Amino acid sequence: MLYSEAGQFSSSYASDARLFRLRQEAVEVIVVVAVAFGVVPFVGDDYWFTAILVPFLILSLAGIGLNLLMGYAGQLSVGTAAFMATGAYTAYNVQVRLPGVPLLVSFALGGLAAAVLGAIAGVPSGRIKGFYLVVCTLALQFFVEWVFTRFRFFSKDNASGLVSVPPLVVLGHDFTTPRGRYLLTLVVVSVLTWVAMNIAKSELGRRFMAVRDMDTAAAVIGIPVLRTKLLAFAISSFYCGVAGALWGFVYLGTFDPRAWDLSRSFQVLFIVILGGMGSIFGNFLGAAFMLLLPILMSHVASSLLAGMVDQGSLENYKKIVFGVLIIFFLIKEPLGLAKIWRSLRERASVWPLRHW
Amino acid sequence: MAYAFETLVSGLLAGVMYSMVAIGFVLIYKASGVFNFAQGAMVLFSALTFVSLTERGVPFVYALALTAAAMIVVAILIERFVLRRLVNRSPITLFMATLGLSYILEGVAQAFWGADVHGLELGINDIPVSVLGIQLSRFDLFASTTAAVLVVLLSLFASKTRLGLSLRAVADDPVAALSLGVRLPKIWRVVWTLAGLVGLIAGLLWGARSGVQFSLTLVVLKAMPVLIVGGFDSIGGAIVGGLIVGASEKLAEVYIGPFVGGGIENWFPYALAVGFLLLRPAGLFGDHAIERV
Amino acid sequence: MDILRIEDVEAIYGNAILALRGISLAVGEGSVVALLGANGAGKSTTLKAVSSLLRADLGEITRGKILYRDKDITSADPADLVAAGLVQVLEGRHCFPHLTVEENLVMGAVSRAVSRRELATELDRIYAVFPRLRDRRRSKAGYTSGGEQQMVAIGRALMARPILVLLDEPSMGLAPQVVEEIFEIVRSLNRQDGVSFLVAEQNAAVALEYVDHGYVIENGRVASSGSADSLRARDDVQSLYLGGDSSSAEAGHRRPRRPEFALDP
Repeated sequence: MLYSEAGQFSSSYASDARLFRLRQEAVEVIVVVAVAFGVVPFVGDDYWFTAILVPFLILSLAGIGLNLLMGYAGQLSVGTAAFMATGAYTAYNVQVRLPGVPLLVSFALGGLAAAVLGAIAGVPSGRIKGFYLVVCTLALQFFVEWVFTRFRFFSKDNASGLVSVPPLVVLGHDFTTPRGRYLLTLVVVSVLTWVAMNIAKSELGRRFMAVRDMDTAAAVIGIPVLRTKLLAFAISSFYCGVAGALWGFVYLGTFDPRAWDLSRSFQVLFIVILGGMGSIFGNFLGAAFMLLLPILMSHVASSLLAGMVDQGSLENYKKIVFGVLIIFFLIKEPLGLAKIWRSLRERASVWPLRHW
Repeated sequence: MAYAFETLVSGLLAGVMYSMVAIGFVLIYKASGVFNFAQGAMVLFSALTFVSLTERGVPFVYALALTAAAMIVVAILIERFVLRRLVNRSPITLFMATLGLSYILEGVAQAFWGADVHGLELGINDIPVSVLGIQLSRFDLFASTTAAVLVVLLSLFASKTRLGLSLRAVADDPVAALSLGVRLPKIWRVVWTLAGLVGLIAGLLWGARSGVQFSLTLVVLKAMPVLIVGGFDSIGGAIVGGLIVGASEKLAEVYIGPFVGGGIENWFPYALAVGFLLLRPAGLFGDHAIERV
Repeated sequence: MDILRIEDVEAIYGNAILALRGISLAVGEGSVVALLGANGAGKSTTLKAVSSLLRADLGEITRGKILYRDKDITSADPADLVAAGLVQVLEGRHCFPHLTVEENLVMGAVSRAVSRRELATELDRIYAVFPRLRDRRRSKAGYTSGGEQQMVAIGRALMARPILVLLDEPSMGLAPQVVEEIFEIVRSLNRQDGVSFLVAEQNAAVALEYVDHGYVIENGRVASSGSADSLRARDDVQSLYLGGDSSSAEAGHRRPRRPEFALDP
């Protein structure tokens, strides 16, 4: 309704492969990014930076990682937190044992370590399918948790695997302030999101989807299935690893293996489900939802139902609400918030008509 | 040598407990293809309900009957509000729905009955009993016997009753069953009820052994390796898988554990299961999926 | 009286594939009617639309009416239809492979409340129609031959005491001799017990030997119809059988399994 979508056609392969189909979509994204970089740092307050925006961005990134695996490559995983842990602990060890390595490089190395682990984890996917593969990822989750707890090497001999990260310094600038944390996270997440969008639209992305839809057929037309699956695991784990490094360094500051437990994996899984599998934008919606809902519920509990609900019960009610929402979304809109958003936009674009 | 044998046997008996949780799972998977992650929550829910009733002075038998009735109600509600709305959806969707269900069941159970640890008395003490010269736990023997009886009852149900036949038919080919007039919602209600009742028995045994508390839901995580080794859709596989997992877990804990610093019970069964999968991707007794392009 | 009337029915699969584009046909009471047509023409879809099994294939009826014994059954529950005497024998037999032949037959009566003694009588009745099954009664259905499986499937449907049987591709994968045997049984069931049949068949030559009336389906529409004799004589039916224009949408046998999370990047 704000603009006409007509008249924008592709006349070359290159233009058809562009990221945004409509010029206006690209403009929208540029505006959002500009606001994120240029406006928010000046108007936001510390609480928003540290408690909402930073975790939102990092969880979205983790969601993108899992989404690449699940939504595009069709491999189910409940071991996301294991990859995040690998990224975090690797980055930590690089930072404290190899002085002089820039922070961002440590993050990247964390991602790489996670990617290697991911590739290894993906090996069974050649033979194992479906829920049996899910259980393999579960195995990984437990194993990695145990490794980081048991082997003190990773936490510099701390008894319980607890570590505290060094200050966040990039190119000589200190980013430890709330605003700094936000900006650091924003840069990393934006870049990686852009890369993810390109992957999705590329030949590799198409191979992922072919393998997802019917891997036997994909093999028949010449797609190296196992290699594609391993690549999917590796890339997805890279994203989760970087997200883990960010989570540990920028958000938590201090962490132990329990920050990467099964419920963390489920949290990311829910982000992907609620946001919409196979949609990059959906991850942001899903992360926002997952983050804001508990806060909203706490507010509702304290203001509307003041005193009637104690903290412990509130946790239980949150659980119930989450469960109901998951089921509700699965029934009503399996393609998640992203689809709902898309439907709203389509409605808006033909408004005041109902449909074409 | 005797010690090794004792460890083995006690591992086997522990494995029986895992099998019981796995059986509830297999029932649902066989009949409806649903990977029911909420099985652990069902175990917890039933155990908590039972314990809360007995703590309030309700006699054992009545508490058992009431809890069984509660599980029937839960199965009916699940079929009516979740399964019926998700007919013909992909297995992944159904799996995620059971994730949501597990959250709901856990939340409700704890909201109603509280988050404290409850002791559960079944009247069977954990005193050692000497069988053929080996020291075994009386409780473990009781648990194994219960499991055996359960399996026999389920087999008889499946093979001798009309309803059992329908369940087997639906497990074989749901569309064919549909074409003959089988009402699938009824079948799902039956299967989820059975799984709930099996979960109740498993919950009572587990609860008696280690107290009824939230971590009971984690037994589903113990059951996963059992299901991998035995196959998702075989009750016999669940038994054998449970025995294998239980025995190897115990043996690993005693003989490998000290070398790697202990605490490996959490993931060793999984490593075993994954290794198994690489050799037999559908488990010992599971059905191989035939890929049609 | 028409035991079955399909009026201008339109059906789609998965919101994308238009399989039936306005089918109209009728089955007279006590008659055997054939649905002929090439692979993917819409024969199976028509049968499944009638027996309400379309939904299990992610399909739905978007227009039109189906009347069984003058009652509208367009959105009926499949179990209700079986109870009312309308049974489909699925394409590809669909026996319960791990159940024995006898257990398969018993499953046929699941929609009726039969006592144990009645069940024994019913089974004898079916074994009288298909003597070969009596010898194989304790074998697992998955291990029986194609012809025997087809007999099991039909016998199973008969256990439900049907008034109208929808037979989907009974000759598929069977040796010609066995096909004749099956169709002979269909004819005798029709003549002796008055069971009506609607048979979807690619093998027009065989089908037209045994049916009273036929409809030729092409691209989801009825291309022609008539009595068996008149159809047999026509040239276009021959060309259809030998593979005329079969460029219709692949709505028939296997629908591509698209996962639900198929949003564009």
